[in-house]
Amino acid sequence: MSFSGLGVIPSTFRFGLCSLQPVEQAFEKKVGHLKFIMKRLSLQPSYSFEDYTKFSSLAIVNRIDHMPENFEKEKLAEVMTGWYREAVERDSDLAEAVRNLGTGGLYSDQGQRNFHGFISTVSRKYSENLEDFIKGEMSRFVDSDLSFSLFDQLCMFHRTYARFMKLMELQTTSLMKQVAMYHRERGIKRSKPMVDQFKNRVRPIVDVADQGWISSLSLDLYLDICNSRDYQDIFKPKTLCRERLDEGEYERLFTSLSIDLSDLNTVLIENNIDLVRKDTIFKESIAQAWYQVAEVYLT
Amino acid sequence: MAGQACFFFDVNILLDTVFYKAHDLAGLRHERGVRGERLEKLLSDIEKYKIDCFASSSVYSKLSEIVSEVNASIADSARKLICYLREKKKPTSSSSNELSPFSMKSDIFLIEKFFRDEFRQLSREEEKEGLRRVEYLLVGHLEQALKNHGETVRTQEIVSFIENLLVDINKWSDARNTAMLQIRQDIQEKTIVVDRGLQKTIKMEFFMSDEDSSHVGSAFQYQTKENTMVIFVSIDYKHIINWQEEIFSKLKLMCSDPIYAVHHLRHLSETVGVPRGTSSTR
Repeated sequence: MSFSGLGVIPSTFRFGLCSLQPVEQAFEKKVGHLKFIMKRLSLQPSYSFEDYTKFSSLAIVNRIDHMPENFEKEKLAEVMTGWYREAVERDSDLAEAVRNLGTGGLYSDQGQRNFHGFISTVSRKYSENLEDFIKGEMSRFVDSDLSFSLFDQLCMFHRTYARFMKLMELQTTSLMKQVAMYHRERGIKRSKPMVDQFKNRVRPIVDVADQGWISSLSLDLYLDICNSRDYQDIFKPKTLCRERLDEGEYERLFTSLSIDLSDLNTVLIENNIDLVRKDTIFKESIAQAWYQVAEVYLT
Repeated sequence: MAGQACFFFDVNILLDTVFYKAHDLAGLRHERGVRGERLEKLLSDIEKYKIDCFASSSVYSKLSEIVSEVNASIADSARKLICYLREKKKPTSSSSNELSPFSMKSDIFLIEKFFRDEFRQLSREEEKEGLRRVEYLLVGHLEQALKNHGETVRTQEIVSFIENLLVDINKWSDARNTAMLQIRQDIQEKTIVVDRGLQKTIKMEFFMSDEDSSHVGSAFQYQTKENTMVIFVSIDYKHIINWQEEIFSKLKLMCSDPIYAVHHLRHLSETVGVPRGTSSTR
């Protein structure tokens, strides 16, 4: 089902990437017998992971206008936050990456390793799980009476999101290096604008990705709660039935995902077409067969 | 002539362009064939002569509709086939959930029967032809997946192979979707509400469907409104290109096959003034 480990990752990703603030840290360095108080720049998250998960859960729940009678938004957000927390704790790599991120500064060697470790762990996990996840989505389609376009869009979104993460990994690596070099040469005051530039460059991309992520999860959550009896039933495998959905709400959430998917895809094409090219893989025989069916529909 | 002369694409050209661009994006060379070669020539002419290209909202919307229909026809058949196999191979013993095994020798005919039953429910020739191609795709995929298996296979594995086909369809959707976004940057969508009187005239004069008359009508209205030369590019000979002379005589809108499109554009730009309205719209 969709609410696997994949669902939780974007929240941690956002937490790691966008709340970064430049913080000057003092540290002691020994040179021979002398102790020096040195200063270095760190980029640290300004909020806790818990804050981010609450924020994310609320954003997802608030996207749903038409709640089924047996669910309340606040309680649902709480359940989701708890589920996020548990999902991160269950994944030891991810849990460690999140813990380390909360403590390390980017200008300490360890902090830098932690940050890159976090970004690449998140990106790697997303990509590694992707094909299994998509296979699971196709099973959900087969067992449901919902349209293929729904599952096709959800899967396309996750493929696009995996690309977004790779882009962030590349951008973060290169920009962090620049920040480090700049700071070493010019000091904290001069490196702050560099950090701001980095954040300004990354933020619009992350904003678009966030919109899509919220749309994707709110649609998925809506499908789930409409097909659940109570809070305990959420996130468990189940057969999805269209008649349990409010048609208007479903269409609204679906349209919102389609728009956000296009926006995210466009941003990725604009930012790194080579990455998109590298990641675009399909079987020629399938494309040909698809085209032959399309030819019939053209007439 | 006031505006820049341009091409308006029909749905078939837009579909071929998406197919071509998706292959290009993935670094694949698509099977050329006559259609592929015609499209390559068109794209090369467009680049060489820097021709603006557009498609009407009716064309873009028809393409989305085709994409959804094709995906649905493949995926719905796959889903129905899985349900059918689950039913036919349901566990014989109440103590096990395992479906009965699928015999490569005899159970392929279950699939044959499934499609035969599906055909019987269809009346339109196009639907039947569409299903025939879906059947060919599904059976071909299964034969490929099962070629190294023994005489019997777990039915659950067959189900899994069919689901894998859907995963492959999704990969293709992903590539096609990305290609479509790139195309939208090069072939701008023009939102044109076609005048009902004009559409009716086109339908009656040239025996066109609602959709074709809307696509051609959009190109004509753009030509008139922008006071420019428009070539409507299509490979639909039956409904569009074979009516080229009649359409031009009535509307002063040139409809052309891709291989002649640039020649028409250059020739008309030199010899014909831009038509401003015709009797058909009055």
